[in-house]
Amino acid sequence: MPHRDRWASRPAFIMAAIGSAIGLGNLWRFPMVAYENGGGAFLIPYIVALITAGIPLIILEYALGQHFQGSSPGALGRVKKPFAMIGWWALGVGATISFYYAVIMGWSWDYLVFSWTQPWAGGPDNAAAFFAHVLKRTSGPGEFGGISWPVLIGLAVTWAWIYWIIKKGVLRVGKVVMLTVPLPVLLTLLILIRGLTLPGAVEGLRWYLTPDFSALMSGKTWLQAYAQVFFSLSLGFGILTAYASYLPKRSDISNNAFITSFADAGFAYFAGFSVFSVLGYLAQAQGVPVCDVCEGGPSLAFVVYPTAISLMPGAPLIAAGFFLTLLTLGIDSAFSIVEGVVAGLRDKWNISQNAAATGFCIFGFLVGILFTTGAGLYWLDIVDHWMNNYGLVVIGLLECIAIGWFYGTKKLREYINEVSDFKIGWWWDLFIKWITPLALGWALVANVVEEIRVPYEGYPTWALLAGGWGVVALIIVVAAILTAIPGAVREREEM
Amino acid sequence: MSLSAWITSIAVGIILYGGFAWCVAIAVRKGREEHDHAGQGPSDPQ
Repeated sequence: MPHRDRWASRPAFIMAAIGSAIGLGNLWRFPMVAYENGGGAFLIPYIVALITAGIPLIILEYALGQHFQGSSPGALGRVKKPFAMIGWWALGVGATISFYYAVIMGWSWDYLVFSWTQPWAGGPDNAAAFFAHVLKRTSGPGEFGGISWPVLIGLAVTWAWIYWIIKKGVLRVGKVVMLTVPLPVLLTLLILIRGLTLPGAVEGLRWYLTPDFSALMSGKTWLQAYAQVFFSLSLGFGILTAYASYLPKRSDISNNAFITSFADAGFAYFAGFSVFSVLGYLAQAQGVPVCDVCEGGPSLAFVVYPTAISLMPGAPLIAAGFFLTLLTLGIDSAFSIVEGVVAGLRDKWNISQNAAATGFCIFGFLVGILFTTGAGLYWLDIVDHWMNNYGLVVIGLLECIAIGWFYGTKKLREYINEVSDFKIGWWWDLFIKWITPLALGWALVANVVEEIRVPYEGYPTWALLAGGWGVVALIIVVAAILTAIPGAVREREEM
Repeated sequence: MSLSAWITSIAVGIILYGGFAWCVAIAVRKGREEHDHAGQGPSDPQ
């Protein structure tokens, strides 16, 4: 079998996996999902979801990559040849996400530069107007307007950064993550310390943590908990499988999976303190309840947070620290997605890391230009919704079926227990065969029903068909083609 | 903050950060054992 790259050490692999899992969603999604679904009480379904879906699936993806020594299509293809399509589908979804994820990082570059002049200062309306101005936002997805040059430049810088990190393979990735994983944690800690010293911070934390146990009776709360765990751990992208394929076959699996999962969940929980202490301050400064300033997603990062920071003494420095946090949080996730795709391309055609990375980064930049137009934010929102709700969830479900019902959980568990620091029991079989697929299937059905009931965010049907179902269909077609066409010697040997 | 908020947040903190620390401790111990084992080298053939 041809030579495969290797991580320099176990800590390098663990840090890279943690870096991939911890991303922008930990900062701007988890705290808001928790707040909207029972506050402190949400942490109960969240931990249940982590144990019943997150950890079993992360063990599965690590085991696939490490046991079969291949990226997602190669590894799943060895279970049964047609299952390679699930792997290509995973990489297709990952690639699509990387196209717009890099654009969000482009916004962060722009805001890092703007931090010194604080052009968003003057209240939330001003900040929202400035955000729309930077993005050159138009009135809807059908009106593209022009390209936002600052965003385009930010996008180019992001892709150049990703290329520089992955062009030398996992050896350089292992070195980079030693800086880019601890740095945002440290910066978030500094923002938290600053936040806690501000008036209103405790009120913000009260909104975040006060449990509303009645929310536990709602199916939506549990659905949100499973969704959060699933998206946050980088499951279903093929990243973890690709990363684990660079470990020797005798490396630990179960403990690495637990470490990654606890680190990701622990950071999300901790980030909530940072976010809500600042929101509490903003609410007090504006004389409104905390719920009035609570917004998730890009609005939190590019409207609410900058507004709050602009009110603090030393605002330019804090704003720069915050956008540097976003960039360092995002870069590990971004290059891990790209590395997952590059690993798949290398395994398929036996091309060099540099050639695969160059080709994909240029392609990613060109596709990303769509999201730098005035309609970019709308398309980003639509594509993101479909990738998360129908791309990743379906892949997780199919992975469980492939291993649980075709390869055999017992066989894979025996391998995992042979190499791991501690053994996993029969519970893992139960989760992979039954509980996790049922939970993901339930999430999928609930999402489809909701989609039929109410069109997502009120977008026109043609836009939802093109950016949502259309993109999903395109990825499936490309995955089928890539599965059908013969690969290079490397892939055939692995099969 | 209410008592229930304190209890929930502390319990979650113990599970997440305690779980993380416990797993890292196992990995460190295993790493040391492997390192010591490798340092001893192969046994004397005589």
